[in-house]
Amino acid sequence: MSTFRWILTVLFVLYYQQIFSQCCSANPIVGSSNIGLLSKNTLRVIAFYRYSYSDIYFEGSKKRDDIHYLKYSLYSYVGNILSFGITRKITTDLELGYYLLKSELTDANRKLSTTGLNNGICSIKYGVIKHSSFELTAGAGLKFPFTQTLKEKDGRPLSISLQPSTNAFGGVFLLFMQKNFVEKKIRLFLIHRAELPNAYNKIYYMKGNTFFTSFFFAKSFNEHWGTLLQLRNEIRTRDYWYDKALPGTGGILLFISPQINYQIKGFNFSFLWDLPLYRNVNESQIVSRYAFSFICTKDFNL
Amino acid sequence: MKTWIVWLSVILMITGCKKKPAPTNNSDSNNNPSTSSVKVSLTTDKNIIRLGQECVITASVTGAEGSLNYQWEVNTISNILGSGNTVTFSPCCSSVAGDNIVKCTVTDSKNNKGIGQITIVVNP
Repeated sequence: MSTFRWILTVLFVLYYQQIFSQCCSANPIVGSSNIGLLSKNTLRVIAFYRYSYSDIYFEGSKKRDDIHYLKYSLYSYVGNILSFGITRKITTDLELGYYLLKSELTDANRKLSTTGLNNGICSIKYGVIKHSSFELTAGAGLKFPFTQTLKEKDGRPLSISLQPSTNAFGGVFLLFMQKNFVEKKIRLFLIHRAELPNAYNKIYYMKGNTFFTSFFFAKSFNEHWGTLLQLRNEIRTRDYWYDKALPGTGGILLFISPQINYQIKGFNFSFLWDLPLYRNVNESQIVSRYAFSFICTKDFNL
Repeated sequence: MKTWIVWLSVILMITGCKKKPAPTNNSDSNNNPSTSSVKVSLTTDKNIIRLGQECVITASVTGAEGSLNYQWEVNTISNILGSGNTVTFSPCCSSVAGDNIVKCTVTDSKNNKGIGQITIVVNP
């Protein structure tokens, strides 16, 4: 009964906040490896790299070639996820990430760049149902900043889009479902991740809530090679500055991300590419032209 | 049941936090403190710019003594780059389209203060 209430709470939280509308940039969360439960005493180490380049503008769902207030916006990001199976039904995760570069070139040819740590996320997942062919996992966690001081230039904070971290605390909630078809070497899984609520940072800026829903179809060809197709929906609500909902923030994005996996000696290497299928942003916003990720995963039995 | 109620309460408390009202700047450009002899006036090469463009703002000070300290602020999340009596205003993103009120507080060596402000209109 208590498990049922817990699920209800998570579902309530996921849909509690009203979605005003949604937004843009690609998220560093990658692949499918940082989800689901681990066996007891298993440590999973995931290292990944992600690159995203944006130079296209959308107004609503229409591409606008006449807008170019930023000539481009890009980021280069490395991340690390440590997962540990505490019991057969409980797994804990620690997500850390660093922007090697976050850069923008304005229409006036001013290039502004930063580097730095993204927020960390510490979460715990509970296996509500776990069979060999089916898994339902729910999780919750805390998004925390390593510093509450914003990156500055000339003594003043740089624009929010250049900040490597939100510089504020927030919550993360996760639902994960997996169905295995062992004979056909096929796995289907569905992830829903909500990043909310977000707190204000020191300059009273609050990032909007983000909801990611991904559907994965995974197929193994042999012991080494496999492929995975991800259909991902990102919904972002508007950001706030003080009590003002900001125009030009928030939106809906839909991606298809083909991924190829190679497994050898306990290491799993993946490469994935994000292809945008649909974008509908509030007012006008810069959106990504392309993004790709490399992921390396290794399990250790302690 | 208890845990469930605690979780729900914490979440509702956080999500229900009252949002702080945005700061408002007096649009009167001659808002120097009346008791101060320090007068600051701001000029710019462009009062109206498009997103992605930038303008240079210069502070002219009269009635101040000794070395001067310039503190620049803007009532949006736009960038102000540089320091001293001349800075560059660079709007960051589409959310700052509209009026951006830039304020400069000048403090002299005797701690006398003067404030000047100017409105830059950013068109999307």
